Amino acid sequence: MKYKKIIALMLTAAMVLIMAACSSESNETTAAAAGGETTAAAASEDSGNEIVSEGKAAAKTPSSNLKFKAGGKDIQINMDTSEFLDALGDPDSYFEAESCAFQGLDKVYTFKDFVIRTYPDGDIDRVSAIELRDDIVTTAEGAYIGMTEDDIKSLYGSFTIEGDASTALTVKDGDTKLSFIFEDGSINSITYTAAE
Amino acid sequence: MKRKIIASVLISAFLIAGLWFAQRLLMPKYQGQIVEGAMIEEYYDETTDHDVIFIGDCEVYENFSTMKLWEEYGITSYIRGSSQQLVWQSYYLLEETLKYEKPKVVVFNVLSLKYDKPQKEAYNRMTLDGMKWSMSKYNDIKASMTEEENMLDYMFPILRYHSRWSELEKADFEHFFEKDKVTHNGYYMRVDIRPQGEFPEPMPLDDYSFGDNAMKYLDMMTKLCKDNGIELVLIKAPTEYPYWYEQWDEQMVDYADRNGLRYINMIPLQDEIGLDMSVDTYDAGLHLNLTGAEKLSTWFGKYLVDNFGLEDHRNDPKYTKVYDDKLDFYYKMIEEQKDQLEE
Repeated sequence: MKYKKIIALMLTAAMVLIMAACSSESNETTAAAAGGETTAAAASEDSGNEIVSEGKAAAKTPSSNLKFKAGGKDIQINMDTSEFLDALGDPDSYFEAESCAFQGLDKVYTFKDFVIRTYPDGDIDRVSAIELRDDIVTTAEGAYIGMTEDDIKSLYGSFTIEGDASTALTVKDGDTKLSFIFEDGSINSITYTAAE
Repeated sequence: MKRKIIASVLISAFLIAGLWFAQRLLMPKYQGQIVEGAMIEEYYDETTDHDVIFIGDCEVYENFSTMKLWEEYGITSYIRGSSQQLVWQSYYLLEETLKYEKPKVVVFNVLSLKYDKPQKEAYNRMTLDGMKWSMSKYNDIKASMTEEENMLDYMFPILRYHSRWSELEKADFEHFFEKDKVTHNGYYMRVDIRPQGEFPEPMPLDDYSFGDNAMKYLDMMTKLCKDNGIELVLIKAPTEYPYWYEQWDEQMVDYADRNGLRYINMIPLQDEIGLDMSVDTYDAGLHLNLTGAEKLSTWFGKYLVDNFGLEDHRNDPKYTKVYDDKLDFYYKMIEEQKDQLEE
């Protein structure tokens, strides 16, 4: 009798484990959809016989107030590039590098005054970094190359600012880190990257 | 009563066997276009030890020809490489490898130090699923999991892969019991050519310091090698993209000095190695093709012999038969790939 119970328990445990795995995956997808988010390929994407797992979590969606404006569009870290790329026109140069083991293409769009880097997320490309290279373009808050530490502190007073002008000042909000990289006391480069 | 016990045991055994079969069938085999997920487990088929173990990402498994090292210098070597192998994965793979053998030299490619935290499940799986179960694997999984992953999915892969049942293909059945070899002692061969083009300008960083977590594992690797009397050689492969910042290079020079290690940045040595990136790469400069890997191995093999006095095993009967077979497979694959290119 005791053995029967043990076996019944083992069977139940095995079933529960498998069922739990199935249901938790579908729950994640449903929850994300209910929240109005885009969902990623839930489990896998087959390429020939190989599974290319893309993670079970809902796709990353931009979650920051830190934005860069170009071509009349707000551009953010983790944003789907199809939402803005056409509006920017043709880049001055384009580069793509295949990720190891066919995990997609990392792309670099170099425009005259800024650069947009992307990473693959299933079938879409998302923004991994934005780099401002000229003082003609500004952040949404108005920061541009050539500004000083004081300028940044006054523009971003409502955010927590880390670092100092000997190397870089950084502002983090949501999934985004905005970095002001200094050289000789003034901003030499501005980058948006994913916050750790 | 006895009959009931036997019946219960049989039912349990049947259930466990069924789950095992289902799991084995559903797990990806990595035998088609993406073979990188099959690399880690190939190591367990080795029948002889190795003087040199390479660990790291694609910059080792695509750039060094272990067969060239054997042919030219009689060096026995193995590359325990995998796609986007992170430094903690390299550490635990090395820790596991040392349970099987004790090489004279370990070569680690330092590009992965730029990552300080887990990155992507797909890459984790390609490194971790192929490892045999041990504390090294358990700790490796713990160190590697992204927020969305969990240990149970690694312990019972059927929980992760059960949804593949509708995508099963002929190859899943063909390779149910045995997989084809995809590497040559860990070396992933490509004979095609795609010349290097222009790379984009590197993006300036607000902080060039390697992360604490990454450096912790490099420290552990250094200690592991020292404790076992193994020479650890840090290298940066000669390929120029992804960008290797000067500031990163300086940190490596400093780290090697402080720890009495050798560090070789091979990027500025392309000419000395004899690389011609118009013909020695198959993907526009990211990785070397066969000719590139053989040139690099010829150059690096000499470095290994000159600096560590590695023994030439070419006349050692313990290795000759084994490596004759390996070379047959190597040259057969070269011919097959060339034929495919011509088609």
